[in-house]
This record gives sequence, structure tokens and C-alpha cells, in this order.
Amino acid sequence: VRPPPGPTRETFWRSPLRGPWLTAALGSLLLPLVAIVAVTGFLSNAAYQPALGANSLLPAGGLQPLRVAWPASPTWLYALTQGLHVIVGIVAVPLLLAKLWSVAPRLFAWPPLRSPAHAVERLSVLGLVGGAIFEFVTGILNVQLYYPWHFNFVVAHYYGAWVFVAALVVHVAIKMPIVARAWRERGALAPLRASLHETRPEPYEPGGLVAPRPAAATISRRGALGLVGSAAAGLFLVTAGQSIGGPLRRLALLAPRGQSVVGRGPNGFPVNKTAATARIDRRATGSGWRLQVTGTRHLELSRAQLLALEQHEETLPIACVEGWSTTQRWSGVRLRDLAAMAGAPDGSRLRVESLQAHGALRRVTLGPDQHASERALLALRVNDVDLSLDHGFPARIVVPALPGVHCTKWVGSLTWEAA
Amino acid sequence: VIAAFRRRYGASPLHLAAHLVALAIAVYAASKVLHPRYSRGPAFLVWLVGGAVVHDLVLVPGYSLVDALARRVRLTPLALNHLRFPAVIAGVMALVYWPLILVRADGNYVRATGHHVEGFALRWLLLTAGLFAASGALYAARAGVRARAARRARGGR
Repeated sequence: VRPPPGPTRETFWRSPLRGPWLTAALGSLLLPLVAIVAVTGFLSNAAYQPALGANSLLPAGGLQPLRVAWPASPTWLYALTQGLHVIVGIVAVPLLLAKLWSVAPRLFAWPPLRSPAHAVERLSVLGLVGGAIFEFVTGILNVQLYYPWHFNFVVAHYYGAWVFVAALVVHVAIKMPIVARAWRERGALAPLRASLHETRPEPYEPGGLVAPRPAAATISRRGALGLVGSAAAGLFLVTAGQSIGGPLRRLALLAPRGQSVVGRGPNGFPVNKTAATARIDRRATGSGWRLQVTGTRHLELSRAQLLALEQHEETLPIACVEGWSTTQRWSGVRLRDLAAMAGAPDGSRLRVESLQAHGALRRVTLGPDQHASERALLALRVNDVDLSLDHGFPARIVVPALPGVHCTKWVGSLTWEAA
Repeated sequence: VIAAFRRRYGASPLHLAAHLVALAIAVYAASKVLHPRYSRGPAFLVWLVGGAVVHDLVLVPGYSLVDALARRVRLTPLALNHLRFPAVIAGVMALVYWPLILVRADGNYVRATGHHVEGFALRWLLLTAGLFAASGALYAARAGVRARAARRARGGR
């Protein structure tokens, strides 16, 4: 059957680079990056400790296999996993685009459905490509706080990942023999040695990726991979500094929490929500504020009383689910000291409530591994000054390795509850 | 039996079984999101399929056309690639960060950070100009080296 004119005809496609070796190379580079993004994504859900209290942002049900007690050490754990999730996800974009470019003719393959197996495979590829693009687009727009859609981001991004990952596992299993054959016949790296003048198309096979009537090469295979790598490196440089800090922070020119949100002074580091947004009433944080502390006993502590307790200083990161992090020197009262004062039983959970009246994360529950850590603080000061209102004055939670939104600001009450 | 299945289906039973498992996971996952509490109507499915459609029918033809037009100018491959590199690097930066560059969500940004979205467009333009300038300078140097080598080769003949 002769296909209609246009992209359904093999002769429509002219690039001399397309072929099984190039697609295998791009796929093999992309796969580990996608694996990192997927694993760190599922770890992020585990870090929210969805089994505790009202922490879960997902509906009850299946496909939530990772139920680990999230530890409080190393302190940089969540900064690392979530920084990787966002940085690697963004850096993988050029590779994903190149991979999809390399197989573009397959979309228009003629006849569109050769057999039941081919139909099933095409449906699965829709889940693969649709799922991949959905995950990248929603994640990338989320870190820029842009939500032009009518679905819940967290739920859709989490379950969209399952659509993508399920199709990806099958795809990798099916395509592995093709990758192995391309490496066996062409060599894993040998085609990279060819300069532009030595660049020849891979051998044509009907129905394959290689163009039957290729144009002359204008770039070598190593040049094309270098192009993709340069784009990835460029994205890394303008993004990674918001998580890694140090000299790279000055280069984070396009990162959402790069240099444009850094203010002056000891409180001049980024926030995920201002006091105005959280509708924190200034009067509620003033001299009348009393921290409600409940274990087997109930205490009410003013800020002056808290400052009179033994103060501890810890240098800890706040790491946001959006990928940025900031390490500061916090000081305040250890949560375990407050637990002892309230007579909290061993192994209890800590429910932290904010003065914030609305919002899903105004109340979080911490497991014993988290709040009983020696370095877990009710912070009152940062970098030798009082917390600013935007950073949670009069008091905020700072627990090592805890996702930033769980480091509750404007704390109103601490309640230790038996598990 | 397996041979008959292969003939009618077009692949091994394992192929079908693996795809059915993946499909079941996808359908279950989609059903969780499509709950009216989390998705207005089929919004989730529209975005799931729509992203692939926009990529395959708009983005790929779009950048392929730009590259085809650049090739039509009949530049040398060296010159062409010194245009491709800055264009692709700046292009993917724009593709990833266009909501900040075009200030699509200033309200959310102010509520989250306390600052307005500022300077992203300027920084992207400066980066783009810098990339093209650096690539152009490198091209001039490389083309100069090649021209001198060609002159020497002619002179030695």
C-alpha cells in the first residue's frame, strides 16, 4: 500500500543522522536521568510522611508503595533529593526533545496499524510520550508557580508519573534488543569518531528510522550530541545555583529562586510564602502570643519564656519541593526539650499547627525520627537576629532533612500525640 | 498455540501481558486524577494527550522548518552550526522558562516570594545575545584559521 504524500512517506524524512544507533545513544543517556527524576519524585512523597496525620496531599489508595520513615539525617537529604529532581528534570529537557526528534518518523508510520500488537504498542507509546511531556511540562510550570490548568497539580503530577513510568518500563524492555543490536553492529561509541565529512547514514531498512533518500550531513553525530549536551549544560548553569548555592547561585540567571529573590540582611533569603499571603495577623504574633504546648501536661509559653530556655544553634537547610534551598544559621529551643517539659511519651508524633487560618499545610505531623532529632528546633532567631515576619516570627519549625513546607512558620501550637 | 497467537496478534503473549499491566496501571492512575475533586472534567486527559499532540504537530515541525530555512541560505556547515548552537541553547532556555520570561504568573510569584517577577526577560535576552556573540567570535577565529591553512596549502603547491 503506497502511503499518501507527506510525512507518511519514508522519503519525506531527509536527516542522515536518524537511525537506530542515534536513538539508542539518546535513549541510553536519557534513561538514567529519567530514573533519577522518578526515584527522587517518589522519595519526595515519602518525605512528606503521608501516613501521618493530615500530611498526605494525595487521595487514599494504591500506587503509593514508598512508605519509609523519613530520617532527619543527613541534614541535606531533602535538599539533595529534591534538588536532583528539579535540576535533572530541567537538564533532561534537551535530551527528551532530541530523543523524540530521532523517532519522529515513527509517528507517521504507514499503515498506521499493522497488527493488533502494533496497535497495542502505539497506545502504549501515547502513554509514554504523553506521560513524559505531561510530567515535564507540569513540573517545569509548577516551579515557576504558573498553573494554567484545571486539575490538582500534586495529584496529577504524582499519578501522571505512573502513566509515564509504566509505559517506560515496557518500552525499555521491548527496545533493549534494538539498542543491543545497534551497539553490536555500529559499536557503542565508534560512530562518535566520524567527523562531518565521514558522517554517513546508518544502513537503510524498510520501515526503520533511516531515511531512504538522506540529504548531505550538515553536522556530525558527535556534533549533534554536543549540541544537545550544550543545551543541557546551559540549563544546568542557569538553574542549579538556586539549589547548590555558592558561586553557582550568581549564575542562576533564570532559576525561579535565583538571585532575584535574595534580599539584604540576615533575613534576606527566599521564602515559599509571605506572611501577607498566609494572612498572618500582626496582632496574633505580638506580645500576646503564647505557644500552646501539649503532651501529658499543657503549657503556655511566651516568646520571652522560650528565649529564657536553653538555646541551641544549628546550621540547617530549608529545601523546597520546588527545588531551591537555602542554608542558614538558626537558633531556638530543641523540640525534644519542649517534649520533655510537656511530658510527651516516647515514640509520640508531633502535630504542629500554624497561626495561619487556611491552607492545606497549616497543620503537619512529624514522626518521632524527625521531631526527636538532636538538631530539630523551634527556631526563634536566624543569623543572630529575630526571625522576620515572612520567615515565621515569632517561632518556626526547622527540622533537618524535612521538606521546606513542613518547617511550619508562625507556630501556634505543638501537640505530642501517642502514635 | 503460541505460534498461532503470534500469527494473529503479531508478537508474543508476553508482549500483550506486559502492555496490559502497563495499561491497567495507567487507567487506575488516570482514574485517581479524574475524580471531580482533582480534575475539572477531563482536563487531566486533555493535557496528557494534548502535550504530545502539540509537541509532535507544532514544536517539531516548527523547529524543523526554522532549521530547513537556515540550511536553504547555503551557509557552510561550520557557519550553520555556529548559528545552531546559540539558537538551540537559548531556545531551550526559553522553552523551559517562558512563564518567567513572559511574566505569566506575577501574582503567584509575589504571594510566594514577596518580589515581582523582574529581569528574567532582560537576562534571557542578554544571555542569548552573549551566546550568539561568543559563537560568532569563535566562528570568525575558526574560519580565519581555515582560510590561512587553505592559503598555505595553495602556496605550497
